[in-house]
Amino acid sequence: MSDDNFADVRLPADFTPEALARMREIAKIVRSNVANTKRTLDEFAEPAPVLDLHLRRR
Amino acid sequence: MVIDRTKPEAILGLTLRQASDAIAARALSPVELVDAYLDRIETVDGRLRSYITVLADEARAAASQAEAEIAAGEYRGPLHGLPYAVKDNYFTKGVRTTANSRLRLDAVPDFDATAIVRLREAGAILLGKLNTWEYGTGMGPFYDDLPFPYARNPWNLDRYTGGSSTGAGASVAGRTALFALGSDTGGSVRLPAAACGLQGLKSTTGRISRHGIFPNCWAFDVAGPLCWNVEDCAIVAEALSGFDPSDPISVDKPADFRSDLNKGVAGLRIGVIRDMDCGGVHPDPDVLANLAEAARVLQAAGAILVETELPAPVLRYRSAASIINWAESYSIHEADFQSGWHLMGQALRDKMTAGLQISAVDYLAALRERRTLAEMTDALLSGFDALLLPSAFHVAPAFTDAAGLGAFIGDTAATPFSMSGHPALSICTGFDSEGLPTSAQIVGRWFDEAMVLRVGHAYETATPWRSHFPTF
Repeated sequence: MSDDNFADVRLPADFTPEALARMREIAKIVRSNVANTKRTLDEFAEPAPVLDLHLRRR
Repeated sequence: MVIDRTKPEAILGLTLRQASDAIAARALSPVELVDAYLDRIETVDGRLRSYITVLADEARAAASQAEAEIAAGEYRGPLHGLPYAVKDNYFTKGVRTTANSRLRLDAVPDFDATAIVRLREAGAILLGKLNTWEYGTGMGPFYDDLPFPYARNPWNLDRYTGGSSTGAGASVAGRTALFALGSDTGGSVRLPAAACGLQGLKSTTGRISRHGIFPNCWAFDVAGPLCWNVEDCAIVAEALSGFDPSDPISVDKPADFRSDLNKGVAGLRIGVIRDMDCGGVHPDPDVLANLAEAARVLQAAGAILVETELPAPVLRYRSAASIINWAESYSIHEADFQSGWHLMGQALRDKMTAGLQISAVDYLAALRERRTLAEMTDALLSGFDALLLPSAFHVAPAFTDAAGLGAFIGDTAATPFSMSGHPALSICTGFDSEGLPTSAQIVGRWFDEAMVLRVGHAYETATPWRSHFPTF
């Protein structure tokens, strides 16, 4: 997750201050979703495609 | 079968199955049927705006060909000679595929999506390309800033169609297509079906090929039909199903969605989730009342109803789903965003700026959470033949209701089954006090579309809603 200056992400060369301000608003939503996800994360959960979950049971 | 051509709705009022039977019995010509739809498009689509591109000449030529084939005894099956339309993110060889984006206004693919190929081989006739959110994507809020203006809801032209398959919902309800194909990442088939009073099927992940459909989010994208009734959905979904080596998640599973369609629900165990909390928001009272009535109808037909609940709050599903969706979508559109972000509509631009902020660690956390939630959801379904629960929490909002437009997309129970990959059918459960359609969702076990459609068909045939048509 980036900080408010987005120093670690590549922005378009012609990105405007207005677009950057909008992006800061979006960042609040992103942070909230990331925090929610990590709050309930099972430490043993490993990514697996949903289809694999089904096929493994056959 | 005799068609009373003295009535204006005689042809356009036919369901897919009825039109199919009439063509097979030579009581209706594909040319007459296609002409009726093209006339309808010309008459009403200036107001409805369901189409981006109409293929009138191509459709008439295909109808003539279908008529000749059928006359020669070369009947291909239940879709032969039937007119349909697709969301404009399905690639069509030689026909522009804009995805309603300024970045693709002149894009003409050199191949057809597998779904288009399958329907052509079945004899169906493509009428045109349907309106959509830009690339079928967004974060929920609605902006009127795309090259092709938004489609309108046939039940009330001042109301939203739901998204992202906006034209698919508008066209089938507005009778500018007999059936339509949409694509569903987090509800984009089910929510337009809900808003427009249709039946929309999101099949099991991997069941229907996505090859040639412009991707939105690889993890969740599913192709699916929007139809007037459940039997029509079964016919179309069956034709679309089957292994496709061009789609890396395609599964080779038999698809028989019609043999058990009329078996009823007697003895079936159906889990009912009547209400749920989505960040403090609950379904509208009319939505809940009609859901309760749907449960009563199924119980009266012999189903065993068991009250249950989702294994996790809807917001838990949505948080992880959003991260996966935004990150994958940014990966798909990164080059265009870097060079042409100013050409994107606000909804897509917002999603891009969300996606580019997500780290690999965040994305992996969401994938891990998805696995947990999918297993929890599957464990719930293992105790039932099907689930009945809300689809959209609200009826279609007015275009002037900015908060309502965002809420219609945000407040739903669609995401859990995009995350888990289970098949889910959005069905019309009646109408609210203003005459706007309400909806519910029927969900089944992985690859058990036949059960989902069977339950939906049993409900539908026990209720009068399919005889109510919008007028505008």
